[in-house]
Amino acid sequence: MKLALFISVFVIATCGLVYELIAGALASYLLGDTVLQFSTVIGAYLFAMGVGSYLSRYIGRGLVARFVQVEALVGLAGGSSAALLSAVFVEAPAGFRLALYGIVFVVGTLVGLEIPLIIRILKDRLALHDLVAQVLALDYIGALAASLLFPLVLMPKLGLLRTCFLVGLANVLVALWALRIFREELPRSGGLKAQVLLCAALLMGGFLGSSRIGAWADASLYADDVILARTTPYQKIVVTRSRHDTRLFLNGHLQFSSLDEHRYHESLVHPGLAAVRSPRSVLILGGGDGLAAREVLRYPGVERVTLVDLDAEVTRLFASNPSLAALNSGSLSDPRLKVVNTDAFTWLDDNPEFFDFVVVDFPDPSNHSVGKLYTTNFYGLLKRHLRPGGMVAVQATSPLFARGSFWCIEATLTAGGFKTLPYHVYVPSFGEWGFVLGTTGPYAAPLTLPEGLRFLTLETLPSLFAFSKDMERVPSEPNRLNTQNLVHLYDSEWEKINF
Amino acid sequence: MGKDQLLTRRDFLGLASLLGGGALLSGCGLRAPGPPMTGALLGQAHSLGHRLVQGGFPPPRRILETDVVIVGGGIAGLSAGWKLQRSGMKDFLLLELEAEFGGNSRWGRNKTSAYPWAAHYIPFPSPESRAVHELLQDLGVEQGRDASGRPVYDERAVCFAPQERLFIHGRWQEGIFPKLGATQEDVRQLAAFDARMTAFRTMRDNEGRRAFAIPMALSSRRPDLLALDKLSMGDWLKREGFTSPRLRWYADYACRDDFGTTVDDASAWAGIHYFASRGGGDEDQVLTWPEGNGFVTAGLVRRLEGRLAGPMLVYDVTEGPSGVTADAWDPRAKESVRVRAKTALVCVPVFLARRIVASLRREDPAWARSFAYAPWMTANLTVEDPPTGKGFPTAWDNVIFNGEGLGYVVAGHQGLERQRNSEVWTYYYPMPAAATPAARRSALSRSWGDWRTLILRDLGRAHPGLADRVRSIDVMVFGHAMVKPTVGTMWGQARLMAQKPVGRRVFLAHSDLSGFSLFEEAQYHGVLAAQRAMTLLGHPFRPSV
Repeated sequence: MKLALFISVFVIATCGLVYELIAGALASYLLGDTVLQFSTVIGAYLFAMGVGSYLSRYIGRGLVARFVQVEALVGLAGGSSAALLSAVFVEAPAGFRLALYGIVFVVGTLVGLEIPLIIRILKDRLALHDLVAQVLALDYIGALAASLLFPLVLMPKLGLLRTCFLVGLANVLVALWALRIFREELPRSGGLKAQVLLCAALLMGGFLGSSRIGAWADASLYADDVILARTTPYQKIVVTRSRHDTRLFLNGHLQFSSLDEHRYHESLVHPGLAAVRSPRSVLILGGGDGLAAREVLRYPGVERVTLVDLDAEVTRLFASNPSLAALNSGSLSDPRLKVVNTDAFTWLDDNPEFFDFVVVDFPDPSNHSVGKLYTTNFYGLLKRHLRPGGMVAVQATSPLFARGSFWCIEATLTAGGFKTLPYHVYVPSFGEWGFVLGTTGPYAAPLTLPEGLRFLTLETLPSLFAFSKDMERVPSEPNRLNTQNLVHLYDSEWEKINF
Repeated sequence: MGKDQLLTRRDFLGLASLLGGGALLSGCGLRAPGPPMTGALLGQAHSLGHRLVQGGFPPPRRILETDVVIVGGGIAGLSAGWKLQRSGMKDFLLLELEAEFGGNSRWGRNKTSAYPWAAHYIPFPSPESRAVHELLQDLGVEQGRDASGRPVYDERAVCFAPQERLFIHGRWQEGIFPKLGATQEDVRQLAAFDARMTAFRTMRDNEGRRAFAIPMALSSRRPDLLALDKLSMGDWLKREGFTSPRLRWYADYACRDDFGTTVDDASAWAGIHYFASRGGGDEDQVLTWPEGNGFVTAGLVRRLEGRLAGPMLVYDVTEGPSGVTADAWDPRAKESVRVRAKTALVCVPVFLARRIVASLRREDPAWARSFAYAPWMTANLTVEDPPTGKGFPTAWDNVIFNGEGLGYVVAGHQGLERQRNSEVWTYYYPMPAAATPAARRSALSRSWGDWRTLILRDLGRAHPGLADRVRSIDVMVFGHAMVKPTVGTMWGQARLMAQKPVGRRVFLAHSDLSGFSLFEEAQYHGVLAAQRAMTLLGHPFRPSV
């Protein structure tokens, strides 16, 4: 029994420090300024423990029963603190600091009650000098265990929410254990036991439901209802819907809004494809949502469309989910279209086919991996897959927000052997957006556009090629595999916009 | 200590360790166990090499005739063959001790990737490196000249970005100089050091020679420059006021990386050569392939098909009045073979040449005994779901500040794909301290398990939990990986003696003759030996060096 009690002290001490660390970590994540957050959280917590210790003098009789209740309450309050604070941050961010210090104070006060109560419970069982020495020593050893377990094991393996619930459960287990050890001193402990078990059940529910709580917190980062969320080996796919608008996010980045995607996709495809003489085979790189394919398939003369997208889950969703397939008019199920799920660069490198037109719709060059697809070497390879008179159209980020990046892509296409025609369009959900057409022969403006367009007309088409003063060409080094200067440029330009 | 005591001290400590240990155990329990790690300890043909020392080979029964016999199939020997072939020579034969050709440019391949066993890149050659340019043109890597007359290289062979990163203070930074946490003084000294190296790089003597050239034979002979060979790189740094510990680490890393020696052992001339012989600025790029310089080996082996034989342990080269004989042991047929030729190119390290070439064996000259070598270990790790770590993303060369080894190179770095599920990492571990035979033996007697522990401990500093993702570790130990450019060796007598013909018909060729183990130097000496052989035979050729 002695051993059991001392294990309890150790567990209590470990849990107590973990709550403190969780609060500090969460505050640092959400508010930034780690030093300030940890300092104030630790200060508030220790102060509250002092308050708890003082308040312990008012607990007179029924020491053991009170101890069991305190343990259960620490478990419940501490164990759910991370989930509670996350919820407050999502639902009422203005009240976050108040909630943070409130919870820290409550948990700290309860934890502060623990050690004085234990000492008083044990005071008749051994000499004071041994009691104090051993209880306090274990208390501090528990703190060491917590400070190692939390960053090295618990956080990396379980994440914040589950760690928090798990530690709460440990506190409740101590309460249950105490009930068992002191069963002779607590003759009628049925009600007490029920309270403790209820806390355990709540925490267990929280632990098991943590992933859902995480998903809910995630969903609340998106303005609209999340109707679909999938994690693939390549990215996190989220589709949201409001009354009139469907949006696709990959890794949190907006890919399209159904309200204005026609501006983007019509502009991506038609200025080039409508100018190619009798195109028959078209290649789409990226564009797994099938929206560019929808525009390409408007040309009755196009016999074959090959769509290469890395992520099979994206193309599968946009082919099979009825509401998503409605957006692309079922383009991914069109018999003329073939989907290939593989890496675009290696596929192109191994493939001997030729095409009349290539749509290049990759994510922005925000890292070295994607950056390879915006290099002289890649564009040179692309050119070798074009029939005479063929063209490529490349999405080229924003010429307004990332002006240097846009003109770098243009310079890279030039260095890759293309004659270039840069143009741009306004897409409300994106802002001003840019494309570059790479041609292998003379470009003559199209005489007709396909049926059913909602944005482009022959009259407005020329206006896309005019650049206002703040988007004009800036001199730029081409992006190469060995420099990837575009990634650095892109990073620095968007950093200025994303305050 | 009465009955009142709840816990004795022993109980207390036992409890504390139980709780601590339990915490660690539960940490491990959360980790899904992977399939077991496999691997092997591979070595150069040690047993064959030892047979060379023991001798006692049966007399040759078969006799082959050729014009030129080349002993050794590393870069020097292969380059000699390449030059002979390009000059229209058809009758030559190359004998290699190992089953694989390439020497320090050997390579391997598994399901994940091809990978190097040692040398893994060639810096953009300077204009002086004419033979290297010729070779790269032949291999299709150098594809022409741009408008300003600079060579154009195959973009896929030029090392992709990001090239280098360093793990320091718990995160990865870009570049190898430890910038994270550097003081202003560190940064000032680095800038001053760079300026000194730029001055050395652009310096030309009265005859128009570079201060530090590749091949090093074309370097200036100005006495003040050659005097740099008289002190160590470490002493030179001190003498010039470069006291920053970070700068010193950086220079030490360079010496260990290129030479297998510490900054205190390396000749300052060699150390400065490392920084001042290459292009600088835009030209400071390297050519690399998944299999490292194995790409060049494979290309040369393809071109020389039918003229290569191995494994063949040449144990004697004797010059006679009208020709040479090279006697070799064929470990497969278990018989000795004699090759009669008009001339022999002995393209092996000097420590082997002095056991093979009869006159060197007889005379045992002091210069041939003075070459010292650094042992190395390299390992190829196959890593599933490779970790990237905190900070700057995975680069080609990934170095750990104050690490035990040199870090690791990602073999698949030149891949075009966006994402790799598994990678081969080549880990380099020079042993600069293992200078004495005893130290060398103890280093070389480590088991595969010892090496695995060392490698995972070193890399684990930057990638905790790496062991769970490593599927295999193949280890190769090189007892005499590189000649050490120690103080006084770069411009001492031994190197010059080794470059002279042995007799009239036997020529040594190896990077040993340059004093340091660089690809360009090995190729230079191989091509030079081929030219000497053709001069001797009266065969016309266009000189490459």
